Amino acid sequence: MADGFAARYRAAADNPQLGGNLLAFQRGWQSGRDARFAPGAAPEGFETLRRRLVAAKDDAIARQPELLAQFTERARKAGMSVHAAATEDDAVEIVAAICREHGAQTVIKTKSMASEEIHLNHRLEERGIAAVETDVGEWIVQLRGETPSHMVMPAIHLNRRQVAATLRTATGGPVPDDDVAGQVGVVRGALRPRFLDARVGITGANALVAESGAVLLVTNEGNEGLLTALVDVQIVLAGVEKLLPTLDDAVSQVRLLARSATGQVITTYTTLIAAPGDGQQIHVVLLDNGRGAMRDDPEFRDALRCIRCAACASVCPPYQVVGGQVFGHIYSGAIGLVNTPFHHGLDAAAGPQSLCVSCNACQTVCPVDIPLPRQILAVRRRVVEQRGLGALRRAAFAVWRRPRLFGALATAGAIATAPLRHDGRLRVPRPRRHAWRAIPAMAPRPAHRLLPATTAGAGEGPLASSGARGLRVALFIQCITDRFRPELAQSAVRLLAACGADVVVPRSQHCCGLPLFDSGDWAGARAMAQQTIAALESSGADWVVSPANSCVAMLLHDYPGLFADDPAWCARAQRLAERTLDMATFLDTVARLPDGALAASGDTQAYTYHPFCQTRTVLGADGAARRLLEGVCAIQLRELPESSVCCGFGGSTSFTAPELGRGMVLRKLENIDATGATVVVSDNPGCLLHLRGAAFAAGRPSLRFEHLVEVLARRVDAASAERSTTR
Amino acid sequence: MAATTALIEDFVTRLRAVDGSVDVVAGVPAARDRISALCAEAGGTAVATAAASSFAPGAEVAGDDLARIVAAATGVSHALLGVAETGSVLLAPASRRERLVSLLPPLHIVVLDAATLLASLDGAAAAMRSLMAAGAAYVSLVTGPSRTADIERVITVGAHGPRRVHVVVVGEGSRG
Repeated sequence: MADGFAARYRAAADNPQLGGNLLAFQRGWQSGRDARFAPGAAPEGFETLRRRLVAAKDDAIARQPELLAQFTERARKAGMSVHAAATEDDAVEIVAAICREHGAQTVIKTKSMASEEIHLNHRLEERGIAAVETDVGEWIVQLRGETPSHMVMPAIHLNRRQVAATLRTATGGPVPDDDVAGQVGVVRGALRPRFLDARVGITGANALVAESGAVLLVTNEGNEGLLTALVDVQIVLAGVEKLLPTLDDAVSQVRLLARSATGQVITTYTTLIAAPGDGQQIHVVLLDNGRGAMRDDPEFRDALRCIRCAACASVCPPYQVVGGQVFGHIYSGAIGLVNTPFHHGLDAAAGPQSLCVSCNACQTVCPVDIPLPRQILAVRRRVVEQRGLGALRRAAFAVWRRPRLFGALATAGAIATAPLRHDGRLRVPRPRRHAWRAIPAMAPRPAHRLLPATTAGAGEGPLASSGARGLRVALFIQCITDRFRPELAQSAVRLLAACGADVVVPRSQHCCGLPLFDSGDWAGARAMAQQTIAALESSGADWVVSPANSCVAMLLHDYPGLFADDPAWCARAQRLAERTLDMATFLDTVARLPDGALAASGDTQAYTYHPFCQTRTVLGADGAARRLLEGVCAIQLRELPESSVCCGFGGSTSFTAPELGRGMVLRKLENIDATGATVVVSDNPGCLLHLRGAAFAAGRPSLRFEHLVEVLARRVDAASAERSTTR
Repeated sequence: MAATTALIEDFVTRLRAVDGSVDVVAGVPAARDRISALCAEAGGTAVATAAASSFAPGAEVAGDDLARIVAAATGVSHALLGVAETGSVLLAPASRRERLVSLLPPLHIVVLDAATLLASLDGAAAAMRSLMAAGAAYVSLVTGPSRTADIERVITVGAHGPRRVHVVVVGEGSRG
């Protein structure tokens, strides 16, 4: 790609240290963050704290012109200068002019994401002014000629030995390889004279408090305190979205920022600067650089709430594999995919956005509840609108959208590959980049050919008097299950019928449109959604259920947005959504299967449960799945570490970015190994297919991956076998 | 006062959790003794802000002499209030030099009157609002010693600011 994304991705994928460094970081971050939001560890719960901050930020965004005027008036009255910079160039010129006016050839800096956004160090250097970073991490990446890989932890992609080598080159003195404290001591010693010599300094701002005309700065290292006390001229560079109405709002932010960013209760220094110190000048440079356009764009406006805690990167599974530098600009993680187009143009985000696997982990930890998953898909849609789909996807979707053509080709494919089929896999050589997975084989006959159009509910059996008795339930098979795991669809029918439901399998069903939606092809997705809605409406069923939670999430949560401009289809989508459920929720809340109904004493397998990401983040159905396993089946689950981290299937991502898929699935397998489980239960066919292939290739052929529905159906089968023998 | 005792306990727990050290002493003379001992232990010279100077008889008042602050082993300052929610102390140094007393020396000693302890950051925000309205240029909540976790997320105490922060909470009799 012209913007260098492919090369950056390649470099990250080939970096042998990156994944390990970031895995350790993410694990540490997650446990630290969770501890800070645990009951009693914060004045209020996460949801309460974030609702309050969202209200404050939304108010600030709505009243931005008014607050900007108020801040400017109060800051000027206190003796500060306030400058407005519409663009990157304007900001650079304003800062450079201040430096020149004071004859500064060197300036010192504390961390400022806005300065990274406008490439300030580089632009000042072009003008003969050297900018020296003083944040430990920032200085290390500056010495290496790199850019920060994380907004809060700029050098987190490096390990201590890499840091030691960098510091040794920079200082010419001894630096311990293993002693982090010793390394920090070297940085402190090297930078102390720079503080004492500096006359001009640049800081960022964590908030601009309109009621006080004050700048809020939070740091841990004390560099902000030294800089602001020692320089005669302080330049504060901040995006206009940093405005907050009141000091109380700043407290709301403080309570969430450090908890989300570093897992601290509060940073060491939480400072308000309301006026220049004695003999000092302060210039506040307020940067727009696309923020106005974001504010005017209803799809993206909420992203201006961002407080730069970087939780969305710290939690992001793809980020753990490729790090922040692949993003190409300073904002990395989910927020980087969303705001980069506004600061640097849509092309700059075209490559990075392809890394998102839609696991939605980002939104669960975002302290200002930015709808990042939805916004990333909107960026993807805009990229496709502007640049097209790409030849491969265009060709694939052209076939995919035609059920009969697809069916004919798939059947031909199944026949052609039959000789290579072995134990559900194809014995074929794989390209090196895909060596980490086995290629699944298509079933000889798809589910929709195997299943009867209707199956009557059972009159007897352990579940026959369930709440689903007598209901007409339509099964949405899902494309992957149809071709690769028809036995899952068969299990679903058996299980539903065992619950007393009459099961119908609508014949004209094909694909919900998720692959196209996920790829940014909304026009194509709409066509497939219409086809699916019509097919399922025709079933006349009381409920529509599916073992494919990704499709259920699409039907329930993405269809309405897809048809936002089409009231008639939107209404049909909503009516369908009202009677559509994932299998676990249906069995738990409609069928209301009783505890112990499917208990089996002879089952010696050790089970663990890995919820599909959107089962948790979108459907909220992981609780139901657990009740079915632990209650109804009386299975003692072994807890899966990092169960909330995506397995790396991510729709087509594991095919377009196989190193990403590999890194993520190996993390998942490592966690599975730690449980000692012999059966991994999940609830989405795509994830199961991905996990099965990777586990086989990684030399774990005996590890079983089963859908929740298959586990339950197996128990039903065992119960009825027992009944027939005791008769 | 029971409420204050509970607040002091919370404050001490929070501050220790972030590697701060803390003493609770009764009355000004005891505070003076404790601070003198801490300064002696640290060796070298000590500097103090004007507001803290009466608590640190051995320390020189910071004044305008930067070299003196740079060379000092200990800085002593006086907090306007403390926050139990976070283990923070609020500083509002009168000058740029006084700010450095809390930042340049490796040991920073803070005098905190127990009666000024607040339960939460909300109260601190109200105090900061009044201070700024009254003309304070710089108000800072300080929570333990400076730190960084920028290398491998390993917490290292003592980044650019003090390596050690010791709060002397002055209880009953402090106004005497």
